[in-house]
Amino acid sequence: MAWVAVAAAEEIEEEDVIEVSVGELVLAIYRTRDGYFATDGICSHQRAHLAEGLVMGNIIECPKHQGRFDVRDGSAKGPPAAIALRTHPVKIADGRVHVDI
Amino acid sequence: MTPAEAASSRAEGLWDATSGMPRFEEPDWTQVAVERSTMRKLQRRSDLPGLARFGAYLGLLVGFGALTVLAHPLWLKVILFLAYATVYGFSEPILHETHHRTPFRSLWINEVAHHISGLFAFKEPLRDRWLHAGHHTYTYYSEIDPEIATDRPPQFGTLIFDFMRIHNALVNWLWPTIRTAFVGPDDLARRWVPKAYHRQLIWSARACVAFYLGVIALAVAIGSWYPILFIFVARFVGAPLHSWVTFIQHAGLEENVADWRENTRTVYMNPLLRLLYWNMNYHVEHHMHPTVPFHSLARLHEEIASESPPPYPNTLVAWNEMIRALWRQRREPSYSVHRPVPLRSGGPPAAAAESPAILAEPGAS
Repeated sequence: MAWVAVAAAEEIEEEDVIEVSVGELVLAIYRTRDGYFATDGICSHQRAHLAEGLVMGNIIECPKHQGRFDVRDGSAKGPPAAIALRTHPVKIADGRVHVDI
Repeated sequence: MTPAEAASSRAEGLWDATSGMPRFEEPDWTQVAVERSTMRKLQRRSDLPGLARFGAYLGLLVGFGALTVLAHPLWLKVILFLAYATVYGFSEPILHETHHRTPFRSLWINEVAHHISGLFAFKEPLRDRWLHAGHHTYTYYSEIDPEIATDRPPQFGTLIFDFMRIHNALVNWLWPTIRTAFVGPDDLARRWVPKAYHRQLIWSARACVAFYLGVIALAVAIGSWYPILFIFVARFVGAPLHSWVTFIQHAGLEENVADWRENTRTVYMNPLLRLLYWNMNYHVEHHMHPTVPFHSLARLHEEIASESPPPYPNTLVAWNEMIRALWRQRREPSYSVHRPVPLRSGGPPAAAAESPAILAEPGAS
C-alpha cells in the first residue's frame, strides 16, 4: 500500500475522467459531484481505455461497448459490463489527487 | 444455414468453455483520433433529440395506422398501410441506438424505447444487445462476427428473401425468443451472454411472447385483423426500405481487417431516410466512436473526413458496388472491394493494424 500523487485535482473537470499510468498500472481517475474516485483504467469486459468513455453522475460508460460501471465501488451496472472494476482509494492533499495502489 | 448460423458453427471451437470468452484475439482497431474537448462535446447526452426522434416514429405510426383504419376505398387503405409498415420497419435502428444507450441521457427512457423497438423488430432486446457488442468487437471477422449478413460465396436466394426480413425475423430473431421463453437461451445466446444474465434473457423473452400473444388475443376479442396487420404483417411488408439502407453497411467490403474504414460504408442519404434511420448512414463514424449519439454523427463525420475514404454519394452508388462485389464473389469468394483509406500525414498508413490471430486452435485446449 502506497499513496502516489497522480494528477493535479483541478486537472479533472467535474463529470470527467483522465487516465494516468503508475508503472505498468493504468488507472482511470474520475471527478464526480460526490468527489474523486479511481478504478483500473482498462474495461473489465474487453480492451478499452475507460478514460475515453463518458462520465454521467457516478457512472462511467465504456467507449467501446457502452458497458456501465459505478466509479464509487467499481460495480458493473449495465451489460456488456459484467465484472466489477478494481477500485483504488483516493485522497486529495496539497491540491493533488493521491491514489493508494 | 444462414451466414449467422454458419459463423456460429465455425466459431464453435473458438470459445473458452471455462471463461465463456472467445479465444479469438480482440482486433486492434484503427481509430481516427478526435481532439479530446471536441469528443466530449460530440459525446454529450440529452433526452430531447432522442425523444423528438422517437416521438416522430411513434407519431407516424399512430397517424398512418389511424388513417389506414379510417381510409376508403381499399387501394387508399393499402397505400396507407404500406406507409405505416415502412415506418414500422425502422424499429431496428431504434433498437440499435438504444443498445448503445446513446440517444437518451435518462437510462429509463432508453430502456423503455429499447424494449418497445425490440418488440416491433421481433428481437428480444437483451440478447440482441450482447450479440451486437460482439459485432462491434469483431466487425466483419468472418469466423466470429454474429451479425455478418452475407456468406462467401453469397446466397442470393436468402438475400432476396431477407429483403422482407422473412428469414431473419422469423428464424434468427423470433424463434430464439420463443425458445428462450420456454426452454432457455439458444446456442448463440449461450455463447455471447454470460450465464449470470440468462435469467434476465428468459424473463425478457417471456414478456415478448406475452405481448405477441396479447396482440393475437386482442385481434380475436375485437374480431379484427388490424392488430395482426399492424404488429405482425407490417414487419415483413414494410421491411424493404429499411433493408435498402442497411444491407449496404458492410457487405462486399474487406473481411478480417481491423479498420472500419475498410469494412464499413458511410453513405449520404436524404433527410427523410436519415430521420428514419437515426443517422446510421454515418456507419464508419458510428463504429469508430460508438459513444457518439445519432444527432452528433454528422459533426463526427466532418471531424474524421480527412482521414476517411470518400463517402458514397447515395444509396444507389453503394448498392451498385455491393451487388457487383457479391456477384463476383460467386466465382471468387475471396474478392472484396478495396476502399481507398488515406494515409496519415507524416506517418505510417492509418490502416496499419494487423489482423488478429486465433489464440488457440479450435479444440487445442
